[in-house]
Amino acid sequence: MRRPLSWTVASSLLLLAIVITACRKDRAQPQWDLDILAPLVTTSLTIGDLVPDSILSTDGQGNVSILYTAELFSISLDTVLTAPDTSFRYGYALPFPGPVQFQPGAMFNTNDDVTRFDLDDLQLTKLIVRSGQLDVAITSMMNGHIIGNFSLPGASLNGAPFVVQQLLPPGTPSSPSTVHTSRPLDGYVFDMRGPDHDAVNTLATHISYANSPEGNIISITNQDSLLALVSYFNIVPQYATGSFGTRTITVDSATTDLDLFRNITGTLDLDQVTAHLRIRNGIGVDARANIHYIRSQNSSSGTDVDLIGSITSGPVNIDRAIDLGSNFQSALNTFNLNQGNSNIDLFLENLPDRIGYAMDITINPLGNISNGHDFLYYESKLTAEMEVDVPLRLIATNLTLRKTVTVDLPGSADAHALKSGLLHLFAENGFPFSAAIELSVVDQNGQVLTVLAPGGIVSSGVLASDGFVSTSTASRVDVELNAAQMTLLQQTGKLLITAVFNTADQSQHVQILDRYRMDLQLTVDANYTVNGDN
Amino acid sequence: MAIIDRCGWWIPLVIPVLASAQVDSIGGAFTISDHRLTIEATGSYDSNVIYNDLVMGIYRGGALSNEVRRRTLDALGSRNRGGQELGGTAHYAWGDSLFGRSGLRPRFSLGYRNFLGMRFASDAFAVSFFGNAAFEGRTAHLGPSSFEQIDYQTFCFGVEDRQTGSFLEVGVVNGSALNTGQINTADLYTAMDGRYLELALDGNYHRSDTGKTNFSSGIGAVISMQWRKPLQILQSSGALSITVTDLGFIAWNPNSLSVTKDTTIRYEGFEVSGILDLDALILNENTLQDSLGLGYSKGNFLRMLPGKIEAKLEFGRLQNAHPDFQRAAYSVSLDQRLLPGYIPYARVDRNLALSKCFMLQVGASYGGFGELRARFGLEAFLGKHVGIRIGTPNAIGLASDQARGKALAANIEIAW
Repeated sequence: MRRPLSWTVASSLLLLAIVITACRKDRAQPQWDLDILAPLVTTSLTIGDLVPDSILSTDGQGNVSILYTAELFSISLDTVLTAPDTSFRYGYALPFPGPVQFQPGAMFNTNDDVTRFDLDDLQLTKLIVRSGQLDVAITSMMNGHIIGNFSLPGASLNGAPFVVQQLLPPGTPSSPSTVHTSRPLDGYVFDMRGPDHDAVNTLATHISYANSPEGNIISITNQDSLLALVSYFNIVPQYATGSFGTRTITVDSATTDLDLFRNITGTLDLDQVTAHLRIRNGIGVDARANIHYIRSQNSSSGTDVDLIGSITSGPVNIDRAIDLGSNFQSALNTFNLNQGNSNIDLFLENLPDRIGYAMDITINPLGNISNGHDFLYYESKLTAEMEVDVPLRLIATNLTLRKTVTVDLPGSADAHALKSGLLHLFAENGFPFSAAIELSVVDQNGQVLTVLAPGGIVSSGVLASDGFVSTSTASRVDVELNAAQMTLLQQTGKLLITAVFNTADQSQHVQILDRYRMDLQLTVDANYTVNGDN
Repeated sequence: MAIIDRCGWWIPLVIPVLASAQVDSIGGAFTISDHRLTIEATGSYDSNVIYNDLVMGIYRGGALSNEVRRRTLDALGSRNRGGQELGGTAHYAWGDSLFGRSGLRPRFSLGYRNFLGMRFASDAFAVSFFGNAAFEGRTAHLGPSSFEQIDYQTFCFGVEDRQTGSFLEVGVVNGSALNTGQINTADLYTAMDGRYLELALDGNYHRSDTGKTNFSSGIGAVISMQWRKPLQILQSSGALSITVTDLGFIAWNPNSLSVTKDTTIRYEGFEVSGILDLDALILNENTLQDSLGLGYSKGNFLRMLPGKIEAKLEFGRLQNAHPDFQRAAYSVSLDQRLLPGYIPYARVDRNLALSKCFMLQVGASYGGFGELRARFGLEAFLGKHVGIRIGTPNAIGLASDQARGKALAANIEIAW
């Protein structure tokens, strides 16, 4: 029997489709290993790469110094002056049974009063508000429309006094009406001397009530009252003046981080060190600081070294800032420290990563000698900072720099292309110190899992008789990363690089010059698997 | 292709993989029927040096042993070639006249082609499959090398001489992908301890639009033609034919990438600001290319298709009774395709009728991407209308991983 032609064509096409489809099946990628020998990285190290440029300075002879500033503490406005939220009540009622009738537009009560703010020891005569809010809520039990007027004659903004006027709807003793109004106080100038300009912390107030001119005749008795509640919220001073009193502010024990020697251990012998304790007073008060201690803390070694010198052995007087009218000029009080008047060299050679301190600061220790002209601005601060000037003339003995770097290798612990390898570090060292290099794989907590051997030493540059490097020295350091170590590195992705520095001459201080450099090249002899990270 | 995507344009030149073989259509029929539909499919690779175990290892995936790679390395010489062909074509011719001229009839074809051709230096293979560490302190000569990988489709109309089979087709071609490179010189010196790599490079590379995921990255035109002359040779019927296939070009679109370099590159590692600045070691292809000055430029370009010209002589007693599927007893042909690594391909075939329904084809060939190959095919005739053939131009390679090249071809011819 002859098969139909269409069947033959269809079956042929189907066979072709099956063959083509079968060829498109997804397959694993092929893998093979290569021995790769290639340069990886080149770089040149100068002192600017070891120490941030921002704290380096160089003199005309190329001698390098570190100029580093650490802020110790800062006392700002809220330590000296805090304006608490305050509310005041003003009530009105007929002093007799009544009734009394008032024509439309008739004023039936005015009250001039004062508001006294509780500011502890501060006696302010003037306050400029940076930000804040005043709320006025008046409750009326009277049977007609009342106009309530609340003003602060002693508070003005660009010459205009502060006024709040409210139209009170009718109310009854059993169902009083209440109207709320909120106004910002930003920029208002408060004359805190009161209406007679002879007081402190006192603000004149005025409140009055009248029958609305558009209303009817109202009749009130002594049962019909008006109650105004005035509240000051979130007052932040822009400027305050007066007498700030004599009081002591305790700066509790605290520490400030110092990153100058972070991750560095070992022994450092500095030839010459100077430091300056700078106290800037932006507040218009005299002050006296009793520094209990300034402490060099090395958290790695656990060693503390207290600064010994005149500033820690007796009170330190701090001058007041100068009021320039709309601004201020901070008073800078500088206390110089050197190896002659302190142990600042030992303080720094401890390689502190934190500076601890504790002190008391007494303001106006001699009383109101400014005759009520103490002041502060919103920006006023009392700050202390320590600036150290360390010429890099030193003896480094096993001075160790550690840094953990995250290595983002392609692939995973189970599948990675780089299987093993030998890293070659080639160095042309023009620095007067040697560097022993060690690489370790560490876990997420920094614990060493394996040390990559053998490592080695980059030799110091050759010192001439004048103590400066005359010739660079070539060195080679090899570090092997076997397959197991590579897997560990893939797992953690953390590599700890440790460099141990020793100056070429351990008996003489060696000066670091800005021209010194170390040329480095890293090459790799690795076993690499093509598609190994898939 | 995946390797090219991951590593950049120069890598394929140093990773020569896959080879190709040639698959010929049976053809040769003196046309009698009013309709003829032919569907051909081919899949092949061949090489004169690369063993099948390496190619199949790459194809199957997984680990390629040192032994497998070493065997091919040991076989390399000065003229290493390889290539592949995947594709299929459907032809349809019908009628007995065209525009009032009897003997002519219209013809239509659809084709899909995927070609890879390459020639490469021995050192290129060694570096690609074993790394450059063995070249420490000396130069690896990676050139001259060249490769071309192209994927396209053709849509053609034309006219055919019903009696002789001569035809002329013109059509459009859609380009899907192209990777092609020519390296005249690539001398890679690896300094001791890997202190530096120095590459003297003279070459160029072109690549089609890499951002496109849709159907077309370029459009072009194509002509295919055949002149076929019946002859009487040694007192029997025969024919001489000259066939040109895929003579044309593709204009690859403006998003295509190109780079041409004649320079010496010295690489001493990435310059970083500090030895602790290992973030700079996080590399990618673009970073590496930029560092070596091998960045692409974008723009359209025109490229010839890997066309083929073939001369074929058929002679000897006809081997099948049915007029639509008659085969000459002998055929001799010679062709050349415009692909790197392809040398003139000569073949001799003997058609032998086993019965009314089956015909055996045996022969030998030399050239193309490979060397001397044994050919084998079997054709079945289903009645008067259908002929099905399956065969291989590389009978030994198909069966052995220790040989070179594998190829399969299938052909269905329907006449009515």
